[in-house]
Amino acid sequence: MVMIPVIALATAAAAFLLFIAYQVWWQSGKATEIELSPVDLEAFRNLTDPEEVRFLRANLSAREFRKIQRMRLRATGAYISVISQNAGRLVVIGRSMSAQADAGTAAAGHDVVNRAVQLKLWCSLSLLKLKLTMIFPTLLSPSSRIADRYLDVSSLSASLPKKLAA
Amino acid sequence: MISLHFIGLYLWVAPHALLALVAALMLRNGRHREFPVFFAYLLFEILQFCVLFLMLRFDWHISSYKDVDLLGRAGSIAFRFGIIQEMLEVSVARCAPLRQTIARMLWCVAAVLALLALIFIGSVYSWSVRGMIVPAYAIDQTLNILQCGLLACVCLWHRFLGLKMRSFVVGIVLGMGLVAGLEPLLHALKDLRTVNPQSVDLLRMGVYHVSVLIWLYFASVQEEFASDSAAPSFPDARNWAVELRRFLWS
Repeated sequence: MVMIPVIALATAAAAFLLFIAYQVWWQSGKATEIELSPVDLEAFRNLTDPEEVRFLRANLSAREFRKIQRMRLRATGAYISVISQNAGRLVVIGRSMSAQADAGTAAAGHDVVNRAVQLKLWCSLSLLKLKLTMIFPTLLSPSSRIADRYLDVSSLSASLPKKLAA
Repeated sequence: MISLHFIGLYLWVAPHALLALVAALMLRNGRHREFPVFFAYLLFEILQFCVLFLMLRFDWHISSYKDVDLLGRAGSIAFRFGIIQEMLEVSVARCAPLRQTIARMLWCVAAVLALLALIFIGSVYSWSVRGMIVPAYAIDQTLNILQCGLLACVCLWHRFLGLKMRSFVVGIVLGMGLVAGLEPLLHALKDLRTVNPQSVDLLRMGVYHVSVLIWLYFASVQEEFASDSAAPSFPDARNWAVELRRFLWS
């Protein structure tokens, strides 16, 4: 009986240290892709347009609507995953810019990092919400605000070359 | 016995002398500006050691020594939480709203983890409640487990963002993780008298020594951030941004 706490704590300590070691190893071996995946924002907006949802709901039977809406939600999820990946890459590019000696470029880089992090958090929350929406497709609908946020951070990132050239 | 005494003295003095070296390296590399809380923690540990060493040297009253030791432990724990927050914020250091968001997230995660850690410690010691020499140490153990959870969050946060951890952050995580991860186990070994308590004390100091050596190594390593192979180079980033603008506005 006396050994039970020791065994439990030894197991927990070993598991934790292995986890930390794995994370450090994973970080050291990781090479970040710098290719951005294209995102068709118009199609994304269309998928998340409340008017479209209302139109489909009015013209389809409840069963068909649920089926179609689930397919649309899967496509929306795929778009959000790509936006999330791109946001991660924007964090890397922003971080790279923020290390530049020029104060203006560094500040712009910080701005990109901060907005991209917010976008990434937003994407994660949206993916969670989307999973809920998949269960209740008639009650919930996805938000299209991610597209605006993505455009916001992407256009900021796209304005960097002007700043770099200046 | 004499050799054990010297080993004990070495394991007490050497890590703190090395901490001074870590602090000096941080000052030289300018990292004290990037990691002010960690730097303050190093100074606090050195100061605490100096006070305790002098108290022991001049045969101060044992109760005063214990009070100072307890105060020092409490301060160290507080500092370690600050360091964890600092590591989470290092990637978004210039954005106040985002820092506030991270702080809020940290508090929520910490509250949940504290509850889980308390349940874990409670269930582990439920087999042998009397085994715990000082029940108040349950709080210390809970906080150590909480710190382990938060250190895991630091790794997961960087993974979530797709960022490589700064080499110095890796060093801090490894060092703190080693101490916080093994501390509950060492506490249990001592409390339940399964191993000679003196050996456990030596083991604890040895673990701390190893963690200080890890900090020393990572403090001496040149920051890989500038030459990070994973991060895009300056022309890469520029081309990338041009490409982005092309497909955004086409």
